[in-house]
Amino acid sequence: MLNYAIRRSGQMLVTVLVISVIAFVVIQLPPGDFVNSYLATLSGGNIITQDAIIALRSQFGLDENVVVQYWRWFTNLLQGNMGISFQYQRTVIDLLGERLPLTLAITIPTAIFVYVVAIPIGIYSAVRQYSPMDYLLSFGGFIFLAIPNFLIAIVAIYVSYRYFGGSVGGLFSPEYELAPWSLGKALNMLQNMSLAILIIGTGGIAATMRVMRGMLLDELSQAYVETARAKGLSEWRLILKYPVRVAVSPVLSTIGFVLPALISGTEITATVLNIPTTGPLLLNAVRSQDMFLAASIIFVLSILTVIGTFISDLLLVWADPRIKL
Amino acid sequence: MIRTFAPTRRQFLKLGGAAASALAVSGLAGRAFAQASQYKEAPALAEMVAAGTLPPVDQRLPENPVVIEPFESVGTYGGHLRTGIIQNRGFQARSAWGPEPILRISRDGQAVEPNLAESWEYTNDGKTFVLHLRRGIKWSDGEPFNASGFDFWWNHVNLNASLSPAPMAQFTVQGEVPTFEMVDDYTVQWTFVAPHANLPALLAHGPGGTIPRYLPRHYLEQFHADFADEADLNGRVSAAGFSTWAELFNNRSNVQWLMPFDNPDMPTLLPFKLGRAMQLNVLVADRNPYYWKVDTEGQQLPYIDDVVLTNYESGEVRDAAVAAGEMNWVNTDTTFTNLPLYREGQERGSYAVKLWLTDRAAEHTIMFNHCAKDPVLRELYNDIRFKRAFSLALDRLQIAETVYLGFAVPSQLQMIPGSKWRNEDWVARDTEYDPDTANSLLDEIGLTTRDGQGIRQRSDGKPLVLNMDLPVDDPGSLSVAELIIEFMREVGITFNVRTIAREQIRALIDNNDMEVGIWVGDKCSDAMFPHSPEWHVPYLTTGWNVWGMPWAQWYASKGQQGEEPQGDAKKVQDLFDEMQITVDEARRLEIGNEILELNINNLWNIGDVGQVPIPVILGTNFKNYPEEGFTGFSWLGNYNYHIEQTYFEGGAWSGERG
Amino acid sequence: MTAEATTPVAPAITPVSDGISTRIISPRRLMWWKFRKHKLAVASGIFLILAYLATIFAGFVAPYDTASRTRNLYAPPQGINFVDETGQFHLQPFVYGWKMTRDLQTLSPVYAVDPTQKFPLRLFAEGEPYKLFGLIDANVHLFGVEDGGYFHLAGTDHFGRDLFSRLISGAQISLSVGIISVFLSLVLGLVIGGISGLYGGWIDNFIQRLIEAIIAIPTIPLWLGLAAAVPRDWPPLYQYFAILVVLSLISWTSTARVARGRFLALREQDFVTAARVYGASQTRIIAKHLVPNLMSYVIVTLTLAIPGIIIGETALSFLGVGLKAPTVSWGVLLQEAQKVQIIQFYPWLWIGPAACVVSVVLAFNFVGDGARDAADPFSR
Repeated sequence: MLNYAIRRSGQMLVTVLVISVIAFVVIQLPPGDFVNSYLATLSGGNIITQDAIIALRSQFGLDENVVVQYWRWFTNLLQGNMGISFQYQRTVIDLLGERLPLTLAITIPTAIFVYVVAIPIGIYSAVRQYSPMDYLLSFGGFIFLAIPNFLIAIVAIYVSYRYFGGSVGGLFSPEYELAPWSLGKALNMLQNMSLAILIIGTGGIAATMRVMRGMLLDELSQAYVETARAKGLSEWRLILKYPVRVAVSPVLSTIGFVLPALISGTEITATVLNIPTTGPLLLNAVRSQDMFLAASIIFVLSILTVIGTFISDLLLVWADPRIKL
Repeated sequence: MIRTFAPTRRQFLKLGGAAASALAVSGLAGRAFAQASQYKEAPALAEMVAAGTLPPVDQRLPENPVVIEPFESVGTYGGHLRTGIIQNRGFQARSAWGPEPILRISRDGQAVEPNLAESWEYTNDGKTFVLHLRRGIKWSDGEPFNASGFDFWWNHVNLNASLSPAPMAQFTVQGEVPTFEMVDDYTVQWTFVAPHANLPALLAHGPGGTIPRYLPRHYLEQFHADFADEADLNGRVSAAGFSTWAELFNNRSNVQWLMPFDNPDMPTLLPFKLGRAMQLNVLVADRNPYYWKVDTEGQQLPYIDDVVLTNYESGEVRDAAVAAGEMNWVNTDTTFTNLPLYREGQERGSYAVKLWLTDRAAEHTIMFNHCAKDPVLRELYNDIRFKRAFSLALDRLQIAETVYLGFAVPSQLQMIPGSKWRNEDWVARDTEYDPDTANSLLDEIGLTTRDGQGIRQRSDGKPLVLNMDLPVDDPGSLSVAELIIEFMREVGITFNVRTIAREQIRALIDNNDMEVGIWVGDKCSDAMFPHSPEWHVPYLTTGWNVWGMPWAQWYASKGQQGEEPQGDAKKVQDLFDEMQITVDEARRLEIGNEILELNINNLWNIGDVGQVPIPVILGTNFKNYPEEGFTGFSWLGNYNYHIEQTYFEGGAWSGERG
Repeated sequence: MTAEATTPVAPAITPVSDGISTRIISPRRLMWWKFRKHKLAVASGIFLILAYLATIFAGFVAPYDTASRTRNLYAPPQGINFVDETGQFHLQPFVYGWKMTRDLQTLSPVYAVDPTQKFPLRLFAEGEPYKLFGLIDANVHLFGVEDGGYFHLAGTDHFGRDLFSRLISGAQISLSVGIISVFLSLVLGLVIGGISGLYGGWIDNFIQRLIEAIIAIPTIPLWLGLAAAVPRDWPPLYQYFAILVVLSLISWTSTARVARGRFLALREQDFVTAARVYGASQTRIIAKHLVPNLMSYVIVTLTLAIPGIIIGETALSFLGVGLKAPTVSWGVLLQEAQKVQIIQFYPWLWIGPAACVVSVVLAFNFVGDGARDAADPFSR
């Protein structure tokens, strides 16, 4: 096991390196650069001279060769300096530090929420196949799968402020915005976040539930289940002990992507719900070609994914002893 | 249903006699109060004074504070101004509580008034521009404001190559940088090669009225290589995570590039000072205790306690927030088409939707690239008959009805109503819907052969296809563009509309790859036209000039790049040059008219409809703002309405929650 | 013993003509029979076939052209009536016209049913001309009203364009592109994932690293970058196709990962060992033994993926990167409806495309369910 871990770590480093190059290239792909996009935002037509543009470019280091820019960024990165966001005029670490805790505070509960809800429902659905409850749950699952998160988000916002007087977006309702931290403020934040968790989680629940159900149904029709039943094991006991363990493995193997997917996949929903997580930050950074910010976020995400996949593999081995690495 | 607004005109500028003009303009005379103890201050500040953390109000205010006459009534202290911006962008993003320029635009939007400077004059045959600063103003940390701030800015920022790649263009005449002199503590002057006629207007507006041309040197010297100890400075630079002192300086002073104003430590002269930088999308600006204006009863302004600005990640969310009643002051990025949503939420949200006018002579300008790379198209686009045909083929009344519910008037891109350069004939020329004449004009040009679908063929046999690129996030121009597709089909032209990202449009414009462009037809006001006629003179390379970017590049680079314009296009550039050094009012009027006449004769820009109002959201008990007003880039929003004298009746917004 | 004790006569055996068959039934036939048992799956299948037919005959099925404007801006859907306001029954259904006023406060159009205007509905009515399959000129539509009348089954938009016709037009793009992209990604995923799981060792490692690298990169920036790289001159549909192909080149990874997981498990199973002992070649093992075991997962993935692509298209339109107006697809229509004002005042503009997406997704899922149960050799 230890050998395996060491080997994998080496490979992980390589992966991350490759990712950093690809990420950097991708951000550079669209024509133009940050100065272009910054000028594009000045819809009022602020007058900046051509000289100023040249200077801006040179100040941001945008007039240099891509390879040079990449090298500078990467070497800085290794020293812990992620560079500056052109758009916000703050260091990337500063910006991430501001948003990462919040992002995790939303995505981790969401991930837990998804698994805790989806797996039991999937199991129940498979065991009581074709029962009315199965149909109901499947139907519900399908509907949520079909409607994209951000679409629900906009309707949810509307319903929330129109009929419940909720605040439109953001973490805090106006009355708590400026107030110092208190129990009321924390509860208020939780309240606003729960809408986000619900909306972000529904799609994931639907998908996971279906897969769980499908996998378990496969297992339930295997001979050994029949054998166990014949031998007199109680129904639920045997289901939980054997087929579920097998069926759960492909589901668990997706854990590796869940966290990074939740962080970067919720960009649009977070934008609509106006929750300042890293999602909208990344989106804006890529759109405006805020190079270091975008590349650094992608870099951080890639590390998370790589670690996540590693954990995933370990889980796979633990859950299914037949697998030899 | 057509609403117009025609303010009275005041005189624009007088050569010399600046003192006389200061008296002619109401509201800003420096009246002395018999007893200093007549000044009053906000309760919160009074508490701080009592606690000993703040000097008394008499000491904070200048000896002769500026007296602002309230628009309607004297106000009461209290309340939060709640506003919102979208995706942290746009010049107006942080101008909710500013600017405080050296000179300011008058309330009616027509004239230039004293502000930080109490008077100005031209001497030395008009070549020297002298500013007399007001005495006694203090920065928000109590330090005195005087001419040394200008000296610092000019000599150590503007002329410092690390901080400014080139000296600020607005201070150059005919490309020459003036000499600056700090005559005494309250007088500064610049000497140009020729009279800088537009300087007062530029000082009042900018663009970049939000860029101060004076800086708190007592705070900023610590970040400047000319003053700070090198080791200290380097330490600060790396502690902040930057790599050069210039980066640090720019970050701390936000003096250039209009980047977000996010340093709470930086002293300011605005009515509100940044209390909390943008954190998780919320920014707060608190009352500036050293603000140098009072109302007619001696109460120190501003009335409102603070400004809470929320950044929204998308326009949709902000619209929902408006309708939910979360803001009480919104005047940017609102669209007329969203009116039902805004109106419906008025009562519930305790706000009122006003319909104000803008500086848009036409909602959109449609621009053909007169320097197009395709020679056939190039020839067509330079042919006035083609452009007239295009203009006549647009059914503007349909556009007005369908897109703007009738709140629009067919209009070329000339000047807004009330402007001294407005000419009703030019505004209306070729705006009638006349496809027959359009067809015959096109036939006249020689585009007579048509293919099986009725589409005209170009001289090289290819079908006549016009490609328009427009920004993807602008549904207004998309609606108009979709209608144009139909109109063009009627006259045998295929009109292709491509929606692409704004950044890509920027890149296309810079490379002269655009064929047909569409943009907002703004800046057509008296406040902007003389110094920034982006649509009427091809001089600007950093704007959305689709119609003659190479011409502008030629002009800006003095012939090094781009393409030299011929004929009328060159003529307007020359006229623009002349306008910049002409101080005489009558002659300025003539020059402007000549420029506009050349424009209507060449139709470099084709306007669609004008006088479309813009919704402005104001809290129901928000006072001292006009019922009907103007808002737009020309007035940096609407700072000329003096946000500092606005207040909430009863001391707080009626829509406050909790 | 009597003489009547006759020899026992065997009871007459009537040859049984049905019920017992001596044919061999192929597995495929068996699957079809099992599939047929699922009423919901069959119904969904029929629905999908009809939907795809509608996209082929779009001009015929849609009563109006995608871009033709009318005077009725933001009109709600018109209901089909059989009984008129006097209580009289009509065999031929009809719709009422609208009387339009404007709410003075919000300036929004308000529509009231106008009983004086009745437009009878007709099948195979003459309407606006169109080109069937883009080639044949025609002007007969599946249904319509007589000249001077109007019938908007799903309401109209801000230009008065018929939403139903636009939905049909949008289906052409949304339905077709999803399938192609998904197949591509599925094939790639199975092949690569299978190789990875089956062979293990350094091949497995290499492929897994590659997958990790691709997954780690957020899709949106990749799309933004690639969208910009596609030549501007290409017609919008080509552009989108190009980008979608690229997207499928990213989405194969999740299929591959799970396929690999399954293969890793399966290759240790007894029947695989047995097949190997019997001398079956690697290909044969994969094709005949392992892949069928993956069938159910493949089908579930397939049915979950197509809707995923359709939704992906919506997301990209929302960001302004995918298809954009004036092209019409469900994603574009949804993106235009993503405004609180629409949801509040003109909800049919949101419900229309959303209902289309939902029903197609549901249909694919039910079909997938039925297919999965049918393909499972052990299901009851």
